[in-house]
Amino acid sequence: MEINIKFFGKLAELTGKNELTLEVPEETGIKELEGRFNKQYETWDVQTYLVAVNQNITEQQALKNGDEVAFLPPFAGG
Amino acid sequence: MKEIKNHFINGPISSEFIANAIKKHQENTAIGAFDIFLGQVREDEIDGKVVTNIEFSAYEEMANKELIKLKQEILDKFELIEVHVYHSLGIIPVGEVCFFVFTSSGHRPAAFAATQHMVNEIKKRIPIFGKELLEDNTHEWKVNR
Repeated sequence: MEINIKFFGKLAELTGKNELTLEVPEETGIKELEGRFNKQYETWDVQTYLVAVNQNITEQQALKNGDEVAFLPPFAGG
Repeated sequence: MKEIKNHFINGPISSEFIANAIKKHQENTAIGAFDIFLGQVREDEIDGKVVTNIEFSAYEEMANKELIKLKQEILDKFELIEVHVYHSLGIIPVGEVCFFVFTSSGHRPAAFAATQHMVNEIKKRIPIFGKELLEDNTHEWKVNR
């Protein structure tokens, strides 16, 4: 299935990307994505962030084809 | 109230923009009180280095949706006539306004309370990110306290 990933702020800086599309096996959840980024990007594991799936902050793990997953570092509006 | 779908402005929020917002509401004579919060980029010092600008970015689609939700919550909670929110994107120099919350009501208590609530909720809930640019061309990522 296809998952659209978005990185913001410090995480966009860390990964060098604002977004990417990944083709992943069925049953892939947030944890698997995090594991992948942890291997790929040094210091990923010490970052603080929230996860939004389809623009809603969630702690759910399961993903489905076409989901938009955003990794959001601490907010700084105002 | 006209539904505004985009709450972001590229660059600083000018005093003309703020003055116009007030002027536009004078036609609504049910309003007896306006309250305004303005956020300004502060010349902070981080580890001895002075902040010169903040570069704001946002998850705009989500932020706009959340702001529409939040405005509705505020309208349900307080006896307001209107509530408006604007936030800057891009590089904003110190001393410039980057955040504008504007409420109106028949009487002052609702506007006062709603503005404070709105500002606090925006800081907590809206995905806006700030990169503090320092005088030596390094940067720090801002975190709301």
